[in-house]
Amino acid sequence: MTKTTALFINNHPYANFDRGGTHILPSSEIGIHMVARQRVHGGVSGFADHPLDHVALCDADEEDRWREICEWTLRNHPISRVIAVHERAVLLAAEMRSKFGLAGMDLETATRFRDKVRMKETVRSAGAAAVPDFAALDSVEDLERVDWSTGRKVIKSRWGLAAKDLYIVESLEEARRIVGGLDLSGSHYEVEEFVRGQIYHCDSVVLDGRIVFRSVGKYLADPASYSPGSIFGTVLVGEGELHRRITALNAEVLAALGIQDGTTHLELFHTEADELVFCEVAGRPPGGTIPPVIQAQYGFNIVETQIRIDAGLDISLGSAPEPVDGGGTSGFIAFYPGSGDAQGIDADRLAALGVVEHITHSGAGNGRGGVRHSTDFLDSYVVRAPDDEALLHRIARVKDEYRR
Amino acid sequence: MVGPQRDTQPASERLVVIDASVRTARSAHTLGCHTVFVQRPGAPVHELVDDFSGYYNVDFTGETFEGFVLEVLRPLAPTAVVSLSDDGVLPAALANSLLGTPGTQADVLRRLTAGAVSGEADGTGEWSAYTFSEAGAHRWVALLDEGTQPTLLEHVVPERRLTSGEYDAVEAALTGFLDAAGLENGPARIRLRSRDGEVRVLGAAPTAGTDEEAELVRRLTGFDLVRASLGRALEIADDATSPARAQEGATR
Repeated sequence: MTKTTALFINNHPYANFDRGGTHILPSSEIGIHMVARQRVHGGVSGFADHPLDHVALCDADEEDRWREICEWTLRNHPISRVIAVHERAVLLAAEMRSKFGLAGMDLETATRFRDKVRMKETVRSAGAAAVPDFAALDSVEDLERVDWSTGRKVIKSRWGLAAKDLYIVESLEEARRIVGGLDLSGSHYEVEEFVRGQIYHCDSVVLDGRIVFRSVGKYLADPASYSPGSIFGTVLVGEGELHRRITALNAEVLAALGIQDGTTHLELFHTEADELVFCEVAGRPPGGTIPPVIQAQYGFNIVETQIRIDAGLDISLGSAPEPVDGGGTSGFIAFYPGSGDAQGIDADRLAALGVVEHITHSGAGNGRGGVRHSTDFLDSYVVRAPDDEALLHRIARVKDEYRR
Repeated sequence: MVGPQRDTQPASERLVVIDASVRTARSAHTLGCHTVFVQRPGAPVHELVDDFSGYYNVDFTGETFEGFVLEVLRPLAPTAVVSLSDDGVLPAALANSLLGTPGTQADVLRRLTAGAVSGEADGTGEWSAYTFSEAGAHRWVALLDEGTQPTLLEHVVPERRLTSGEYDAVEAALTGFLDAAGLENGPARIRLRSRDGEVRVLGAAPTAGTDEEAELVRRLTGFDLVRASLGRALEIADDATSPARAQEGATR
């Protein structure tokens, strides 16, 4: 039987696909043509250990160059699948599938998962979830039509990721000032009501339109509040009423947006009034350290799952829906660059703190003491514990020892 | 004049190198321009690129290469396309022809590789001459005995290696051969035989020889054929886009 060949549009460092000595690209099962970023962004980091025969390296900021090599590759090689796991690659992958009639998420569906205006319009019109008031922001005049009597608003990129290009404003005047520095051409921005509440995420695996795995987590900080020296993290939420409500909302939203196969990462607010309000959802696996947390809890890698689904290969969900080892819970705490003289944690202390994985990111930060985005971690620690209380306690100890 | 000392080259220039060896790639990285490598499938990308290199695995000898040049390379607006490998020089010429970038044309390369007189090579009295041409002026850089590993300057520098009479005869043969082929710029490796005062060209390639040969020549003569060849590709591109030349147009 002829081996399947796939185009892999990859914005991650190549070394990211080596997880603890396991290479999660199915290069022994399928042929892979990879289009990736230049070496400075890790496009071929660790390549010698897992070489591929077909590689293209492009400037990360020149999307047309990516499009040209992708189209040429698809026209000149017998490729039947397109793989993408990074938010920046998902839309181009879908565009290629639609253009070449290939299986997988098409452009229309991917756009609903990327354009935050189209996304919320779809969710709202389907009645899938409560949605904050929002509007496309294509001109300064659009700000005049916003109801400022309700207070704080969020201006953000319709196509952004990792909480980049996001501004919180208190008034029309402040909004005008912010917008004055933005290029509003091309329908790139939206304005929406600021929602106060705890932010949760729900991560899913969908096959044939059916959710076959879902996991709920509670962020330890607002993803948009990243700053030098601050922390981020998540703790998984066990079965219960809130878990049930969140997964129900997740199911409604995914059905409304029409995903057939793939992984998703949804974020929502739980308000003080006990309302669940939709924030946004991506048609890709969660980023940052959430995949290692899911792996610690359920024994499968959700990034690998997305790759295998895109490649048309069978998937295994480990112990899901039950946790590995019959119980317990998991989470992570991550530290942004800029923690002053923080020394980190000695390796021989990790087991005592319940840390099952420590991930260091040598390229974290913008080189000038700043943080680039919500997953721009310097160090992150995946923590396991017998129950929720113990998990929070262990995470607090990790935080203390890291900064000691 | 060696010429290609381009350490201050503005990075807006983009040099496409087809079928680069690791040594060629490293040399290209010293020129101060953006580099793009076009390599056969399976090439060691991680050993070839620098932080900002572009890179493509393509069968540049196949039928799809022309489309690749037009659809993928042309939008990159390369300054020059060059190759120093036997298999890459004709694809580079094709790319230059399609892109309108200056470089040795394919018919010159074909004359160079096909223009040698026939004659069986028996290994005795046979040499490889290494030349470098700039604007039609040919510099004879080195002479190596076939199948030997010289270690001394006297073994490779033509003036020291040959008697005055031999030198004149070989130089005349080389110049005549290169002029007849029409090579104006770039390297050539020419196999020749001198016997009974008669010099015959046995074969030629528009390259700097193998990496080992080029390195040997560089070490013993100080002339870096690889770097000179890459730098020359950029220089003639600069010349072609100077105001005086621009009026002539580049409509190929």
